[in-house]
Amino acid sequence: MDEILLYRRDRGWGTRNHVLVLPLVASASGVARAIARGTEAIWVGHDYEPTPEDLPQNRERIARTLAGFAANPNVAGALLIADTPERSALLDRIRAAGQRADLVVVTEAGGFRAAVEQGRERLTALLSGAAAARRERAPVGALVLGTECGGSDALSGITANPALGAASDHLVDAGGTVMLAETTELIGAEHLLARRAASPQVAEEIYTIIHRYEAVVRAHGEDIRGANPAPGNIEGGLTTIEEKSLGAAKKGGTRTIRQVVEYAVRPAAPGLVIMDTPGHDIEQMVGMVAGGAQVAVFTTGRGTPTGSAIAPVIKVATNSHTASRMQDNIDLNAGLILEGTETLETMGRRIYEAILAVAQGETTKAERLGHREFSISRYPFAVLDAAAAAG
Amino acid sequence: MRPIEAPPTFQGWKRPSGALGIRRHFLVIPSVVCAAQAARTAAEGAPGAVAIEHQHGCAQLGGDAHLTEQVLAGLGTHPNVAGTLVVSLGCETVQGAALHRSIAGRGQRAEFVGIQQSGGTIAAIAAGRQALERLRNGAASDLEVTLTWADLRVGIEAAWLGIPPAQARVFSEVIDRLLRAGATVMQAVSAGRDGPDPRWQQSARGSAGVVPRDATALPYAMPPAGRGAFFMEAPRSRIAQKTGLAAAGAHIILSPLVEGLPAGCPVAPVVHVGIAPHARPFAGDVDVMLDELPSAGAAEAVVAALGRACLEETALEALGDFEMAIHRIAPTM
Amino acid sequence: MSAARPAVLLLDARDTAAIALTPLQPGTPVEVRRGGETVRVVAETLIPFGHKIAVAAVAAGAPVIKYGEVIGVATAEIRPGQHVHVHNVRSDRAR
Repeated sequence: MDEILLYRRDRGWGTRNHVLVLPLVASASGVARAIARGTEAIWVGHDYEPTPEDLPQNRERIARTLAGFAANPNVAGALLIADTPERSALLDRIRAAGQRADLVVVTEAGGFRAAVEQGRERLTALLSGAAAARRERAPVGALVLGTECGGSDALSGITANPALGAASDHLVDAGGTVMLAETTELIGAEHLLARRAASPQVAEEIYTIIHRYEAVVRAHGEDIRGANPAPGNIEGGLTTIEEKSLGAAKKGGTRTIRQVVEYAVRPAAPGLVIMDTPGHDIEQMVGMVAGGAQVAVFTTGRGTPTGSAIAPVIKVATNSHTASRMQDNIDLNAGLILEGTETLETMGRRIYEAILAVAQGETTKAERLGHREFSISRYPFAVLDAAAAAG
Repeated sequence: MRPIEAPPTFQGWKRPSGALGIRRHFLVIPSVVCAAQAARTAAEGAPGAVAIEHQHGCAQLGGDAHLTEQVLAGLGTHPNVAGTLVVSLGCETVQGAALHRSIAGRGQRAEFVGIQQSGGTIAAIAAGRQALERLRNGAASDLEVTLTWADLRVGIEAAWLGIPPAQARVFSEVIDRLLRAGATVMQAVSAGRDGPDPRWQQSARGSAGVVPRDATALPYAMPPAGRGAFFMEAPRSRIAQKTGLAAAGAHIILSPLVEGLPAGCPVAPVVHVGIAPHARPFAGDVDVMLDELPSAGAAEAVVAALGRACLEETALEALGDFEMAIHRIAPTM
Repeated sequence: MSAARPAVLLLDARDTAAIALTPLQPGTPVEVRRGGETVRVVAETLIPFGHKIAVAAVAAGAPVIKYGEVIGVATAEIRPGQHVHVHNVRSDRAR
């Protein structure tokens, strides 16, 4: 299959046709919720509130996450909800990316009720615009796949992640883009990834992002165990972060690593890329989607239901026990590899085919259950910056 | 200053733990962000149920995870909460089962549902709905009591510390009146690089009457032991301040609207005092509007608004509008 | 080829631990091909599904190997057949 049916946008191809209501600050969530209620639009909430002490790196990181999320090609139109007029810079940024977007500024609208009314009018226009969209023939290479693992167990690195890696290889070979992320869960495997870097500079960047996370943990003087691996990982047989990482890194398959990108940054070209994100499941997914991922495969050992408001997430269980117990939330079972009824290759094919089917409209369980988790990663290096500034 | 008239009374409930509250919320707490959707769905349509949302519970370093757990436990044992349901995923850093035990251990009526344990979100939601019904049935026996200011804790956000003196004096007077009436006051003070906001000391010095100069310091989200005046170390984020004050047991929260938008709190009614000129567009949304030159009865009006919030649902509560944010002391892993 | 699913999985010949594909009760004998030879160990305690059972001795302070890579350091001497996990292995990273 060289061509699939996707929505054509100015800024790429979408697997979905959502209209998004996005609060730019946490206190605007109530207005966003009220505007979206009863309509086909999707809204997300978060807890970000700007303060004067925000690091400039944080302001930029958050701004590009919000902008990238709203401009994702899965979104036909975005209605932004702001508290004050200063936030309109974000509207310009999203429009400059080629996205249809509008803005409600609550203080200018004249309070909560007026803002909701104004928002509903503007939303109606965006919804009409979206209704006209139709899928067209697009190259498979237009796909940007986010890969993720959560609630991992010891089988993650043996069944589901390598099978996902095989699917990743198929997509990269077809000209697509695959994102490997969760930097914390690459600690201990970075030398294996660096060997596959497209250039010495990319290899160095891989080491840089991993050492950066280690330095953050050391600066806090805390044991990373408990945070990562989490208690469920440990119960599932993962003993150390190295063990977890060696299994997690397999999601990216075997192809050359073209680029290392910061959180929520769009890759410059197709191929396998590494994005610097925390291991936090939601922050990671949001970073990849903000960086342009239109579909994701999420492997899980213990079972987790989460998804994304605007990108379909395919859940792959590492073992048959979880696949059957949590069948309401699991789409595919890589535990069949252990049963002997699938091999890594055949499972990899199955996952690849699921990616194509889901990209073209087949819904996933997380989508049907309405999962819309959203959380923005904050720039975590204040500790390092302070140490550096102190000299 | 006119003396306070006959003390107002408020209808409340006595909880199994002995705590006295002015609301009958059934709180649904996801111990981790991944359980929030199930928590929200279980609460939908259940009378009195309030599902909170947060972004944490996983990938948090030791002290930071502990703080999140402390905040969630504080909300779960809040006096305005008649019963708490903890919804856990199962693999998270802030373990839901431990959170449930902690809440139940403090005498709160509490239930637990685990998503992985139940076999997925659909089963967990069904179990959650049954648990909420058990909590409601249990809470029917909570004794109705009459409360006065002496039984209540008022949380106050920090933003008024930086407004012009004419308007700031109103807040000092409100604090005086509340303390005289016997209420416990928790004032959030946001810390800068060099310690608590120095404007707190200046304001305390400048107000007449009972001065909370000797107010006791409280760490973020820590309930005070006893009554009186306290100041709580808090971050700049107004929403995180509300959450911290609520976790410390504030029955009501006074929110000066100096910047940004009004926002509610899941367990405690929020009374917004609009600070002109910023808050002018919100004249219809705030409870009291404070002009640039406040009238003589302004402080009394604010106290009256606080009293009204104890008696009846606020507009924000009716809309089901609230925000939550938990202060973080370490980055996500 | 045996009809029964193997009880353990050894990912690489250099690995000092294999993964239990079924819970191993204490006393269960286990056989696995490691390099050119057959290694036989007996589960000393319960090894839960997915957890590691030592197939070689590891001295205290020596690396523990899985996937042919270092996954940590033994904090105590590890005997073949022992459960290999957080009680006798620590990470070497982010500390």
